[in-house]
Amino acid sequence: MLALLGALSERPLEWRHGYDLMKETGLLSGTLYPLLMRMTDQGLVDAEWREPAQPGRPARHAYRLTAAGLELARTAQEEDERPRGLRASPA
Amino acid sequence: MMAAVPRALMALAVRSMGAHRRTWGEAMEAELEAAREDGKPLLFALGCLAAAWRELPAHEEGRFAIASHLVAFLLIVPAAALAASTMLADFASSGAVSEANRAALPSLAALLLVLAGAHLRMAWLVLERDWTRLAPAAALAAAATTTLVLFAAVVFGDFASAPLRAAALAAELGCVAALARWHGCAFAGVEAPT
Repeated sequence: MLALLGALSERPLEWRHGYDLMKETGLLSGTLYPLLMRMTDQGLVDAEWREPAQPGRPARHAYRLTAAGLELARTAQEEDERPRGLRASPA
Repeated sequence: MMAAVPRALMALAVRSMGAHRRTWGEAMEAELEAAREDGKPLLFALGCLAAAWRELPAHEEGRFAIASHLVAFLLIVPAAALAASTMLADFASSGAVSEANRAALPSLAALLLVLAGAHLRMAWLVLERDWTRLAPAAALAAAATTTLVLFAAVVFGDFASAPLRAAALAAELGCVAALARWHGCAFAGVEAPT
């Protein structure tokens, strides 16, 4: 999930396609899509159908972080950058 | 051929997603073209299928599909195999083939074929959710099993396996009836998959 949050938060305003996210994060489709589904259910990711860039192609589902998702991504990034001893312990 | 396999896997994945995740199935399917251009359509489709199957227990349609497949492959088909194998075991343990047993062989073969056929049809119709056509198949399986029990008793003097066969048949029919009732309650008005 952190890899996906990281990839989506790099260009937060840009709609991203599933296959591009797979290539960017190194996640397989069997991992990526369940993550996207859960994150969408939790309101962390927006998903919508986007018209294809090339005519004749089918519309593609695209994703980007919501405000809550972006906030979570920032928190996760800060947590990751903090020295190990100062990290908040899991509840 | 090489393109057909990923497409077929993807179609299965889309169907496995269930109504509430249908959009996600279509979303995965829409990416297949990108995977094909990247030269990895099979890996992509297999991953999508795995994702879809992991979602099955999360929705009622998926739970019903799991239950139907369990009943078909772990109950109906093995029950047919059990019936046939106990009959063949009877025949093998009856020692030297007597004239009477030898004369019964064609009838036994025909009976086993009918029994196996009726069970396979039942299993198929359970997966198709075709309860109307399943009833005659179940009646045929019940009739064939009853005949088999009588056959075993008369020809081989085997009375011991009758309760086992009756219990297996009752379990099958009970599970099929429960599935039909579940389907009627949960998916009334929903078109069966084609």
